[in-house]
Amino acid sequence: MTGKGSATPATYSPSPTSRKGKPPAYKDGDLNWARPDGRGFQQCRPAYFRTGAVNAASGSAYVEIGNTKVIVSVFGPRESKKAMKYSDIGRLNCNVSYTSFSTPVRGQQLDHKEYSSMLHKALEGAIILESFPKTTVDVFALVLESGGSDLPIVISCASLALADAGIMMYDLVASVSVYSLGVNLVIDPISEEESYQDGSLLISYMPSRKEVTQLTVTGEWSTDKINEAMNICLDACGKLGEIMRMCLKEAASVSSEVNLGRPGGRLKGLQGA
Amino acid sequence: MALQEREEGLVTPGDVLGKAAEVRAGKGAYEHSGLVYASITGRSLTVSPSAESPDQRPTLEVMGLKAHGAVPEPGSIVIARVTKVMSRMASLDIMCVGFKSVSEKFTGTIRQQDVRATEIDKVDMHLSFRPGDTVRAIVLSLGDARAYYLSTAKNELGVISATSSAGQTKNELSPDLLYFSHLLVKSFILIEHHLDEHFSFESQETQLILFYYCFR
Amino acid sequence: MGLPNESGDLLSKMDSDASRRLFPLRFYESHLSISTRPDGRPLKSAREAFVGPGDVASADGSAMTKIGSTTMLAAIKMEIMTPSADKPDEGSIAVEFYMPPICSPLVRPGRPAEIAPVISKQLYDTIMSSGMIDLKELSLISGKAAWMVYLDIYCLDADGALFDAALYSAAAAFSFLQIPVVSLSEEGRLTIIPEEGNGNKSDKDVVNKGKRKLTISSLPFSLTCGLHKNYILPDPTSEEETLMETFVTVVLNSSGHLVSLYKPGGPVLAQTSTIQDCIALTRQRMTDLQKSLDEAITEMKVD
Repeated sequence: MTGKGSATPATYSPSPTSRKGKPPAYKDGDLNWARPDGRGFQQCRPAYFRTGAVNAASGSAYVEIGNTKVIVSVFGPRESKKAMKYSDIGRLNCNVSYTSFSTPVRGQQLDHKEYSSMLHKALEGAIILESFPKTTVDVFALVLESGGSDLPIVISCASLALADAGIMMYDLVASVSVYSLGVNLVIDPISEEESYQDGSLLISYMPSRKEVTQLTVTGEWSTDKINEAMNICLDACGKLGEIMRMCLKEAASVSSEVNLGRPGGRLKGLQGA
Repeated sequence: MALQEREEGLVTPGDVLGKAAEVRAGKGAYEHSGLVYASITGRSLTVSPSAESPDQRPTLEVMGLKAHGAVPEPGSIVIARVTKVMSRMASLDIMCVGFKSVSEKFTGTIRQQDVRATEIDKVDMHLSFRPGDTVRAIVLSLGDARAYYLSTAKNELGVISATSSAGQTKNELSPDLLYFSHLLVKSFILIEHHLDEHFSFESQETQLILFYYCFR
Repeated sequence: MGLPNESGDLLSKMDSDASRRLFPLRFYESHLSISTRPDGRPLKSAREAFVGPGDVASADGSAMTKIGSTTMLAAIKMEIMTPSADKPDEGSIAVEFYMPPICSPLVRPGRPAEIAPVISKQLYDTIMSSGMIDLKELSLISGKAAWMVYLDIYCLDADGALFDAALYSAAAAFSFLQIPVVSLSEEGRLTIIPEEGNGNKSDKDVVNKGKRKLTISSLPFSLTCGLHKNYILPDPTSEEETLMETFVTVVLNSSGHLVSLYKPGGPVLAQTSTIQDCIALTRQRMTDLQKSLDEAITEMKVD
């Protein structure tokens, strides 16, 4: 710990480790449970998107969905690292990290290797890599606050940041996850719901091309349920894609009005009006 | 030639612009299984084909409102700064592509055979370049993993600004003089071999400045 | 010598974007000579500052600040520690400053920015020496338990004057801080009493009843000035920082007293008058920063 000469004393968080006082929202076999935030099972949280959050980057986006808050910066196309081999097509490099205060327990998992690689896989197929031969596009995500469905939100946010950076893409990538809780399918779960799940399904989807770039299924699923979950997910991805397009168009019309490249630079705070 | 341009609305990556049977995909657009899609955010533009064009489909382009930063491509003219001079090649940092600055530098290399068009085997790299020199060059190819291959083997290409041997001041020359001095330097390098020892100058910069004063 | 004019010719014929990249110092000085900064500011002006709550639900206090496009997100998490034997009635503060790869093209994953730990230390020293926090206020049970305050500051967008923006976010985060109410459990651990469950607990279990806010005696505010030749240029952007080699950072507390003054080397020797000018500029700046922060605090109370 910086600023402390001696070793930092051992500390613990006073927040209750298990939610003892509060009954869990969902119990096995319970059919009439309600989601902690009062949403319908197949209702997504409202999404707030904004491009141009980071001026130092070539492109960037900020997304806030419930308590999940993510910033993605895109750098490049820039020179690939010296150690890289020559490549006729461009390279995509992704990194996902968390702030030390993003989770209830401080300072866990700052660098998320698994998500970094999944983000790469979800985006790779949507980017026209031939349009920037031999160079690299870096996509860096920082989860400011983790409130559930972190990975799909990071993926959607990154796709928006790439579009903001002017990187050529076949389509936007919208990503949504569905969790299976007992007999119910729950879309866009919050952290608490994620901890009860029996199975998860994540789809990253190019809504206009109607192509899936990534599909991840964990846990136990029946074929019927998987089909149902996929349909719910694809439908939600389509809607999310529309919100993302609206955000891009809004930013574009603002920038062409004032003839300034970056609408974000003039807005205060990240979550302006 | 763009004969007629019609501006349409704002589009985003993945938006369908038209059918491939009716329109062609231009800049910022691509074709996939019979449809033309936008690949960047911007305003779509219909460009009518010229009368003599065999393909009479109009072209759909997307004018990006915010294109990504400049990236060197084969054939582009770049402005680069010399970082290292070796006997067979010089290393440079590419600073501008055209007159657009790059946000982060790209590495370029000028090989001995690409310095000038004639007597390429007689080129002395150390006489041609010095670290800190600003050079206008053309991108020959994407090069290797390390660098883009650049060339100065054209009259309008070469050193455009140099640091004095003492290393404090930069002397840029006016564009017309600059052009002239390229020719001079090139011819100078050519005649240099025939010059007497007494006549060989310390550095290329002094040469440039000397010529500058001679021709003022 | 006809050279400068000729080179001016070249500059004017070149795209200003390209000349900015190729001859940055000349580009910069040509702006200074007509009394403007490249971003259009008058020479002695700092950029617009913004402060607001950080809205980090998982933290006990958070703030977001912007100076120009430099953006900071500060969050405070309170944990319980056993105080050291020689200071049984004092809590502790730890400050960490992060520059994640999103904030600048110069930072890459796995290759942390060198200045981040320097700024961490500078922030910690400033917060401690300003006396804004009384460590005794962090005590919960003498000798047994005290608050350990973890202040984490993330730079989200780096465009110069990082220390100033970070210190401003730290001051704001402490101002917005809500200390959680804790009670002693049977196992001897302190746990947070959930807001809605307050009525069920008898008052004697609550360790820190009615102490939800720290008494902040005097907040520190800073201004960094770049010294270039005879110019004093407050609040430099990252581009300006690469062109200048000498900086003076003045920290004043809200009563206007000097907390600290950093001049980390640099070839420009700062004369007493220069330092005095820097202090005067900081004094002006402090008024603006404090006003914005006061407004943000009032706004937060209304909500």
